[in-house]
Amino acid sequence: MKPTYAGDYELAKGLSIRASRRLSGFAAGEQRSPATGGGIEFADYREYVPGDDVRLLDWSVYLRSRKLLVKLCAEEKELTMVAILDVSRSMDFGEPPKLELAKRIASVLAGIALRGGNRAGVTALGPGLLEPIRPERRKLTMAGIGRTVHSLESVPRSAPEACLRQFASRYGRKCVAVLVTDLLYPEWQRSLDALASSLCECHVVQLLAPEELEPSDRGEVTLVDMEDASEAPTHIDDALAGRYASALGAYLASVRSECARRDLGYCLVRSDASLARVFNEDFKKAGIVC
Amino acid sequence: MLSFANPAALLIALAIAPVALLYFLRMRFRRKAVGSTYLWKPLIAATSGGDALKRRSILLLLLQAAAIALAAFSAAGPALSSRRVLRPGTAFLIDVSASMAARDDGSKSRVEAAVEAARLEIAALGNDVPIMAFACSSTARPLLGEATLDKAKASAALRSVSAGSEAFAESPCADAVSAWTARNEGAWQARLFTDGGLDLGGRRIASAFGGSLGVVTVGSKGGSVGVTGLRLEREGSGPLIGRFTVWNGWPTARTARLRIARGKEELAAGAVIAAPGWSVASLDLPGALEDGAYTVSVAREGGDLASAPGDAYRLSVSARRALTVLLVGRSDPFLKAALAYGGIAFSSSPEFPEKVEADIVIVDSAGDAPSPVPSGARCNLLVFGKPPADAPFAARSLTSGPIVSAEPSHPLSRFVSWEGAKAEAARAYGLRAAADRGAALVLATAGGAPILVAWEKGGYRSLACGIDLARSDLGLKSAFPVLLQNFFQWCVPRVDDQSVFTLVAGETARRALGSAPGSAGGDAFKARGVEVERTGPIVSLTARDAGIFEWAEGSSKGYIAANVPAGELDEAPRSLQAVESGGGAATALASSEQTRTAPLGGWAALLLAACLAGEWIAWKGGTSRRRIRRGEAGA
Repeated sequence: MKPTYAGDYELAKGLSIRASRRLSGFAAGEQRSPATGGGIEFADYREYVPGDDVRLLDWSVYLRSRKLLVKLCAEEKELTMVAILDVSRSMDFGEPPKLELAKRIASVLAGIALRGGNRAGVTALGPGLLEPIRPERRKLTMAGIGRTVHSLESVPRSAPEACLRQFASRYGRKCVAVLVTDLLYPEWQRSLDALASSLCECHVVQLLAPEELEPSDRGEVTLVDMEDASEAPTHIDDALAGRYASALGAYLASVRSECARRDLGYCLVRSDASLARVFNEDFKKAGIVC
Repeated sequence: MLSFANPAALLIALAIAPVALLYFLRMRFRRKAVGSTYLWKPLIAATSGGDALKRRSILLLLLQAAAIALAAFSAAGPALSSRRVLRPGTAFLIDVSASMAARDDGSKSRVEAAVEAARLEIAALGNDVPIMAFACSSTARPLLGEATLDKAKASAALRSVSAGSEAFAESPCADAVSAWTARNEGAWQARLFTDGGLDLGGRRIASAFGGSLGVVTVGSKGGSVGVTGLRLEREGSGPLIGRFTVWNGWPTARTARLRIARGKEELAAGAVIAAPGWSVASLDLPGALEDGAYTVSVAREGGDLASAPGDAYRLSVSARRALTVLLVGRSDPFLKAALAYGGIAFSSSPEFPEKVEADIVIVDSAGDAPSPVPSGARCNLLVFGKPPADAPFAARSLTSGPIVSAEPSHPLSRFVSWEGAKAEAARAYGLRAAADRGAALVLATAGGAPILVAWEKGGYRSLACGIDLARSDLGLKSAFPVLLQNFFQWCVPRVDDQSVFTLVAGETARRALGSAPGSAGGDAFKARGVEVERTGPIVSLTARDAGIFEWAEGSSKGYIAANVPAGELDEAPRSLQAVESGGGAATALASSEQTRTAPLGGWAALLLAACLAGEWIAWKGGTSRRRIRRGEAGA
């Protein structure tokens, strides 16, 4: 029997998805968008240029300073949030499995979006792009989202880059995308490229198990890769563990810098962390929610 | 076949089982699922991991097992033994002494007949019989580099054999073949082809082959006339007489026509009637005795053996020269009296000369004064009192007592009787340890202390006598002049003999140089056709062939006459059947079985050390360490 995580949705009540980029949504919503002009909440001024809507001229400022300024207001639009789940076999690793936390994160993110009157979708990186919950304008309940998301299983052969290319072509410029993955595969940079090519406001939530961050095994071990079942026999001693820590540090720094270079938000999450901590600390700090 | 001296030690190999057990317990790889080996694989590849680790572990196990097995193998004392059948070899000994040059039938010499007979026997041998051949005269000279199964090769080696001028010296021949058989495995029998003129009757050669000697006597019973032993004498004011010895190998008296010449100049000729066997004859020579090379020759007559040795005898006449003695220090009257004999020219000097030109220097120093002989003096030396500083012994305190001989067999002790001789306050000598004393030898003692010590250095001979002639009655004893003469003979052999350069072919003669040592330099002594070996003032001369050879030393010249040994003149063949073994056939010896054992313990220990070294290297993982460093550098 799958867990329902009914308590997780309490988190959604006090949080909202944070969008810092202009998005081309479909309909007006409650989400405060950086797109200015169409909304009612004042955002900023700028000098008038021919072609501007003269209705937006602030006459009171003109009377005071004899300057023609156009009043800019934040456009309140309907936001589309899409959670992209990495459902490769490597996400089954960890105790609890990384995929478990990833699904809970996706469910709560979708819940937050729905509570804000926005659209929410959940996709998964399988052999092709899986779309169990499309961000369509229809009535979705959080419980329904939870059941759907938790019914996702890991797939033996995933193609992250191809799936993200698909995602970019379908959802480009239209949504806030949160990719929940471990990025533990050689083509992770190409995946980031594909994600960045969507021109959405993207966040990369890298989910790693404690054993991946600090391996505790020592001695003669045959490491079995859960992705492709390949084996790597080795002798793990403190020296090798130390070198692994160094390599992991370099790798994480590289992921962080590569994300920054592509204008992708980045957040590293331990799979044993509580969901409340993830949302209230890690995601807020990363600017995914506010 | 592999055998073990201590088979129980092989049980050590059972230790392999626990080692293997421990290995499998220790080296069990746990399977551990990880999300991805993406980060691990570069590290594993750059360090020690992966298949290389497994291979290294297996290599370590194998090396440990091999080390245990080798240790057990080595402790068990392994040896590899093999048996093989050795066919007895046949050594062909060809007598090439001077008498083998005789041609019995006028066409073929005895050595040629011997070679022909030997080649026939070689051809009759089996193909698996090792063959060796020697030419024997003053020594046994191998005709083949090593024993061979190639009969054609052995037969061809005999073709180069020809008779020389030397006598058959059986002892050195036997020594040479004994040394050869000792170096070569298997049983050997010998076939000796000779006319019988062996000085020891063949017994030594027979014993060299364990008695398995077959003798083939070559030559017929024909005789010949030869001449030897020429010497030139003058009796009073009479004419110069050439006296010589004639050999008549015939059973009846023969008239021999003889001729004496100096160089190419005939001095005298005549006929003498030679009785069977040895007889002495003479011919009067005109004029005075002059230096030169004289030859007395006998004309062969019909029926005589052709090419037989002894048809000529050569005499080298050199000017007699006196033995020069320098007396340094006191001029003791006993010494002077002992030196006042013909053939000795002595002079006196208060100081030791810078350049010694005398054959012998006698130093008579008294008391505690240091020896006047400088270090490194190159001369034959007789010292009374303290020895030279570079002598291999030193002067000690004074001693007294009856003189006792310590080395009666030494040439210096020959005919020396110390009976009644007593030393009073004689200088005793202290010899160092045997390893340092060199050739120093104590000849006589007094009161238990050495007082007469002889030594050799750089080819020069010296004698130190601790007796003070002025305080001793040694000069009155008969031992004194005899000791002096022995010393002179020991140091300088035969300088006053007119025929010192008349040699016997194949025999080495020691001769003193014509000039004083150190003045002319004996290295300059040259004699073409004669082997010359210089040792200090002495040259050793060996002529391999009969003939007359010129020698030169600086401006001095002369002749060396070499003759065949007198014993070779008797060409009558004599059978040596008394020394032959049973059948004397070439294949009489049975094949022998030889067991060869090669110990393998050393090899096993070597391999064990290699295994341990290899295990240490593998355990240290030198290459892996380099990889690790590269991996760290990359990280």
